[in-house]
Amino acid sequence: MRLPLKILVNLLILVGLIYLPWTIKNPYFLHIIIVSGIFVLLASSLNLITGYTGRLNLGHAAFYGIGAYSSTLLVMRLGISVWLAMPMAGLITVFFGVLIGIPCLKLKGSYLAITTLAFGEITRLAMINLVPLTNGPLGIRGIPGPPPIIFWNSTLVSFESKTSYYYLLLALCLVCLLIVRRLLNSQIGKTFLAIREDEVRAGTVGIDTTQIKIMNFALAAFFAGIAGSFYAHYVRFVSPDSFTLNETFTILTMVVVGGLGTFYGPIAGGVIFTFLPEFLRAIAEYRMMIYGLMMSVAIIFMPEGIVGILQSWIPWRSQKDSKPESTQ
Amino acid sequence: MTSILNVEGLTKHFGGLAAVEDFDLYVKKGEILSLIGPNGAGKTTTFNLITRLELPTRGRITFKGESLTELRPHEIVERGIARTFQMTRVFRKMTLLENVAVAQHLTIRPNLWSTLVSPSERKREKEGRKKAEEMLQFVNLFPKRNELAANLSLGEQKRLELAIALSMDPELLLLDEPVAGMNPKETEEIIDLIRIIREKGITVLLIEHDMKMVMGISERIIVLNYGRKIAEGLPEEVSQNPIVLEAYLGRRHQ
Repeated sequence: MRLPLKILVNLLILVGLIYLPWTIKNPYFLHIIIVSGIFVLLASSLNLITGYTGRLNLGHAAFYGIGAYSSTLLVMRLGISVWLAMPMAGLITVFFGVLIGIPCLKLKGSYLAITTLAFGEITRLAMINLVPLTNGPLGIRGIPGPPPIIFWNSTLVSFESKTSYYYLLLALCLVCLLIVRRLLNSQIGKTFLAIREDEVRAGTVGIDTTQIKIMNFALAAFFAGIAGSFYAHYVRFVSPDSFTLNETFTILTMVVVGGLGTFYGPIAGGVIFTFLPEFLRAIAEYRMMIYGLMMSVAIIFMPEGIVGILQSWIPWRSQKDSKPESTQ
Repeated sequence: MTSILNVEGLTKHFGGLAAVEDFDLYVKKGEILSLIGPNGAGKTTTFNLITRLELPTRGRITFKGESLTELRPHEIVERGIARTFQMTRVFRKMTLLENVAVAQHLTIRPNLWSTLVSPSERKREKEGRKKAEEMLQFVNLFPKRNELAANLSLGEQKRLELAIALSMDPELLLLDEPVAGMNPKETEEIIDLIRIIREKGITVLLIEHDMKMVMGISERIIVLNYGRKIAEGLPEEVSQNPIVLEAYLGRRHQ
């Protein structure tokens, strides 16, 4: 009974998501939904590192920014199609993910946090100072959107409306989240958890922890890079201001308050913390302070975040059921 | 009989402290060899050196002729050596089933691509899960398979350690005080399990303080004290050895 029910629920959600843009009259509201989708991707990818292998990464906005800038430059300087630039930007981000992943292999806890923090800052400073490449603090404007999808001489999607971007992002999110879901249910997902629980012990059960940790960084970097690429072609403007430490902390808040180490946590967190500032315009200056407070409360009182609490309310989903393996 | 594990001149210094000093050891295929000695004698350090959690200061360790000192911990497992930990080190926030299934890593050998697309990888994962269930049945923990390891009692955690180690199909099993802190009934269960393990042809190197168990189960015994080997032989020889008695009980006051 439960499996068909699950498929039905997922199908309903999908239909709801496809129908969603038609119910929205206010384009600004649709814009916020699209931004929340970008953050769902970013939070899910950070969760791969911080939630599943338990390694605090404070340089996540750098991956996001590298994805955005490399996609921008590939399209504007080399004339590559956006469709090709997007996965390429993902791969370029992977390169940097591995680059920072290797020196971080032996680091844990606050040492890792500080190293990744430095990586984030270095990346931001590079964006500001590599003026010939990045146009410095002014950023790059006029980034083209994806070319229209033409089928049988007629234009299917033209990427002039927000709705078309919404569908592109929906597709990206679905693919990325399905990949994350499969990974977490797989043997690789178990090795992430084992490394989080006890890294030395993980080695004694035959896990090449070096390989897995690099793979973990590379994967997270890939999804963050894709998110960055989408952002660049959607907003059509990139500047170093979009990839600051504040951004990293926002993503981290989404993961921690949403549900660290849970599949749905970063999804919930990404949506909630994109909408929340819209309602809290009046106290915008205190945003990071409020986030910090919420993060502390979450860490102390709800280690599995909002999603963990919700799941404990659902009678047929015990704590054990929320484990990845049972979702197969 | 041929020896599968050879240790020569093994030395480990922690700063000025010699935890293990010039230690020679060989383990014959199929035997149960016990390593005993007072606390701090260097027994667990020896295990850590064999499994490459620590690097020796000096000395050679070879398994079936191959040197182990250049390998990394997961490669030691790959060669066929599995161990348990005295202070249990199970993955506390994972279920019992996940604890054992994750140890099937070398059989499943996942990579990113196969994980995402290959149906045979899913099949191997399913087999790994089945193997994990069998192992939990073997150590009598199957009913608790979906509980978190953190919820287990110490005795149960030690049995889980055993299941994890055995699930990797080792040729040589290093057991670090498998019955410490257990009641007599639990101890009896573990002894029975070790006998079955031995009948399967798995060689066992055992650290234990429970003398009744050591004397009953071992074929040979090596006694360590202050990092040095002070005696070696059959259980009855060792238990009569005056140097061993002195190490454990102290010298008669003259």
